[in-house]
Amino acid sequence: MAIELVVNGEKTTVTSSPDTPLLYVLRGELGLSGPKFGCGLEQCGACSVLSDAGARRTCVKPVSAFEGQNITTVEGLPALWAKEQDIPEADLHPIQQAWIEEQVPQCGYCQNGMMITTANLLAGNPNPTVDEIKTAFSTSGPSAHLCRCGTYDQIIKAVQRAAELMA
Amino acid sequence: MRSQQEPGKLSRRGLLKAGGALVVMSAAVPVALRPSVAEAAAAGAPFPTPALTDLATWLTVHADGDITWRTGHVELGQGNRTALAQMVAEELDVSFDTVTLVMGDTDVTPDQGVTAASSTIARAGQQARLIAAEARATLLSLASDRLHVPVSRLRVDNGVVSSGRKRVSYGQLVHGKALTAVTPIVIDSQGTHVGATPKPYTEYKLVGRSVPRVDIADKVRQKTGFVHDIRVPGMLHARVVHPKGIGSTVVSVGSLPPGSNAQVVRLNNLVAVVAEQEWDAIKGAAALPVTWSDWNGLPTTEGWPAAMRAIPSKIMTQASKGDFDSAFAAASSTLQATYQTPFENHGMIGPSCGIADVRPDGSVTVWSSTQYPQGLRNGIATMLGISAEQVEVVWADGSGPYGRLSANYDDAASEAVFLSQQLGRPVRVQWSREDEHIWEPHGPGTLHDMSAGLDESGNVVAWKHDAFMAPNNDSTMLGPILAGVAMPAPRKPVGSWTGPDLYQFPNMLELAHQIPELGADTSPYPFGIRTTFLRSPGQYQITFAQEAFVDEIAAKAGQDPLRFRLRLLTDTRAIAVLKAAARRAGWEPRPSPRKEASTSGGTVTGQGIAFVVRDGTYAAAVVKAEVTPATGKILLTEVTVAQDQGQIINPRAIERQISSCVIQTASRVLHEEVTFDTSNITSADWSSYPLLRMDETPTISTVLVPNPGTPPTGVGEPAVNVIPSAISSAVFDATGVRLRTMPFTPEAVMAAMA
Ligand code: FES
Ligand code: FES
Repeated sequence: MAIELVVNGEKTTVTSSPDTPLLYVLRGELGLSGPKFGCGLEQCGACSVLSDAGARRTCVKPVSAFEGQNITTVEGLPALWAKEQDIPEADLHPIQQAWIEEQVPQCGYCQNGMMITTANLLAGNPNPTVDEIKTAFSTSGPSAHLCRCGTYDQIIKAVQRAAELMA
Repeated sequence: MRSQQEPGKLSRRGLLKAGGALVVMSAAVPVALRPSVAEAAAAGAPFPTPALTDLATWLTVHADGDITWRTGHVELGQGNRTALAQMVAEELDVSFDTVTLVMGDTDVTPDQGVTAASSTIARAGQQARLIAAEARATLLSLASDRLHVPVSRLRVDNGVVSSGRKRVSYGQLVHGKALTAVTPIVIDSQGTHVGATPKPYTEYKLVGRSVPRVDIADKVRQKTGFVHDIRVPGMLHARVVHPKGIGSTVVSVGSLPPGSNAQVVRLNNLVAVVAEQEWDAIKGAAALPVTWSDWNGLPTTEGWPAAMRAIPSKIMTQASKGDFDSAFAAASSTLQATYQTPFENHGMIGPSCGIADVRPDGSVTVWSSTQYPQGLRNGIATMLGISAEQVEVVWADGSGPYGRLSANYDDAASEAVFLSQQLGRPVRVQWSREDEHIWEPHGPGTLHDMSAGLDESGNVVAWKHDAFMAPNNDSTMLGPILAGVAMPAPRKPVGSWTGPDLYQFPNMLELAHQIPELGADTSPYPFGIRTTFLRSPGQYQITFAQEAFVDEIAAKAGQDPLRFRLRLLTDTRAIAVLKAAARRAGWEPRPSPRKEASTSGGTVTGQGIAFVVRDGTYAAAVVKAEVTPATGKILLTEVTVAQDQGQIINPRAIERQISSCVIQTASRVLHEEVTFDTSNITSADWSSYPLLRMDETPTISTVLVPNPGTPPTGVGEPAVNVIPSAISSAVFDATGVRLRTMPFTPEAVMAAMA
């Protein structure tokens, strides 16, 4: 049974079985490696994407629950920014730009989820305080966003920098 | 940065396959043009392992002047891909962006040992620096012949050799040919010897600068091919169903539910479910009925400290000076305390993943994010009974491992090898979160009995540290053990003392009781609770006990903890980092606990300080914390680290490593403990084994003490050691209560304050 999604702006019909969590559809069927498998338990945030309902974990909920929705992964952030700004194309989303300027990643494995949650936060709050940033990454989702390499302090700086770049 | 793939490798292989011929190998053939393990096997020809003493192993100078540099070390997120390239470009006198590193591909990279223990820059980097200096000398001698100018009159700028108006570029001199060192490279037990002398640090242009990390843009764009992202044609997905108990064996394996798209593979106690689609393998593994034998050989979370004291152990003497017993008996006052650290997880955010392709011709390719590709290569050769020359390990970026993939190389890859051999197709093994939490080789639990005797003026005259340490060097791999393949006995894992004595007291006794793995005595497998290297292994636990106990002594003597340490130390580098940390942090000189210390009422604040020497690097930390006795909550507000690591290669990368140490260690100290019952680990996910959250992140300041004339030492581990005791001491300063058992969870803090 085919399921329709709009992934990174493109209408897509996927054929994975409907009970497959969205993560495996994105990574396996669609070849998008941005969303990462970290726990499969909605406990770490590595698999996050933007959906019509905001940032969502994809490692548990089946693809059928996302039917018809717009799904954006980090790979799709530049195009999303271009669309929002009404410019032909963007090489990087300002969040990615900020992540590079602040040299955030260490191993980088968790950073997909960190950038997705930043996009979600800044969409609703273009100028968050440090406390609001900490809340967004610690207590607002199904679990805290986990980084084992210890990049939390760089992420806070990069979120502030991204807010500046997007202002 | 360009891709990690060896330039020319893929296309050349395609060409060779199309032509059906094999290039003859010799040292004169550039590494990039030699056949791969796979091609050698297909043609029945021997594969030449890259030789460390062959200059052509290390670098290729391409016609356009670009340089490929090969290293056996790998990037773990600490920035060594960038720092190594800085060191190499500096010695070669080329611009930074012409150098591309190939890391950890055993077909082409030299074996420089495991990437661990903060050793990349200190050892592999220093080696690369010597080899690069020799390469430069070799290039200059070629230029001298070409330009008819003596070497002494030549200069090099950005890869162009010149003398007056005569000039030739490195690329024109070499255009991809193999280089032969002008003075043969010698590697012996003393190290690496070359004819050339590396540059004096006063001439550095690249080393010492915060060059942006070359791997970060790809990680941000999601273009980094993590091992988890690699897909090989024809590959199957596998999930392994691991034993119920640490020592359980298979009694019976049932069948998959009707309609499953998966298939079961069983080799002895290695049980796996494989499928074309990953989700089918996951569903199958969850549904597969497996009956395991009962095994109950563990002492439980509550029981392990007593059990460890009762296990017969070998005793390693770290220090024995004077006569502790007499001095302790004669002391005018004494102090005794026991410290405890729990079993811990490395906690890779991405669980283990490895891919293996075992081909019918006997050659093997494995993709892994191991910290030691050469070690994994040899391990696979042994487990399959083939020669290392038939195995290629291709390293790919992975989730930060912090020692998890060092001595044990890569459990998932070792399982994939047997599944691929069985199925005749490439197999990708992805561990689940539960697999990783339960089956990773953990950080060891330890106990420390501390005793000190003081004279009338408060001087320490007797010092004893009696440590009981679960192993920190397990080197088993699960694949062959579960599959029942006899491997040469891995070294017997033991807990070891690491790190020098920080303070010299007149009478000292320091002992480590080297405990075997818990449960190993009754397990059918050659392991119990596997415990191995976890970021600063051994020294992390030792320094916690020692530095916190030094604070206890200072408190007993009524002295400021910083002054107390400064009086004991003579090493100027040690004194400098302590003073630098104190100055930056605004240390308040006074004895602990502070006058206002309290365990009742609202939030109280305190300061704590600690010092360490780890692998030649000096680090000191000041922690400022808020403690709320009513809730047991400890919040770190400010952490300041001063560090002297000798020569600084990339200041920002070092600062990032320090904050990584601070945040990760705060997590270990405040939250983390592996729990287990008599059969197996019970902390199987992130809710039963929580990590520090962003809202608990302190403000972090770093001071890098300049010391350019001293060779560089490691930066990935030193700061880990100073955090636990500094937190314990900050809580003591705030409340007057000393926390001696990690983790300092709210429950533990409330119990201690009650
Ligand atoms: S992988 Fe989805 S939250 Fe961890
Ligand atoms: S950067 Fe490694 S887990 Fe976050």
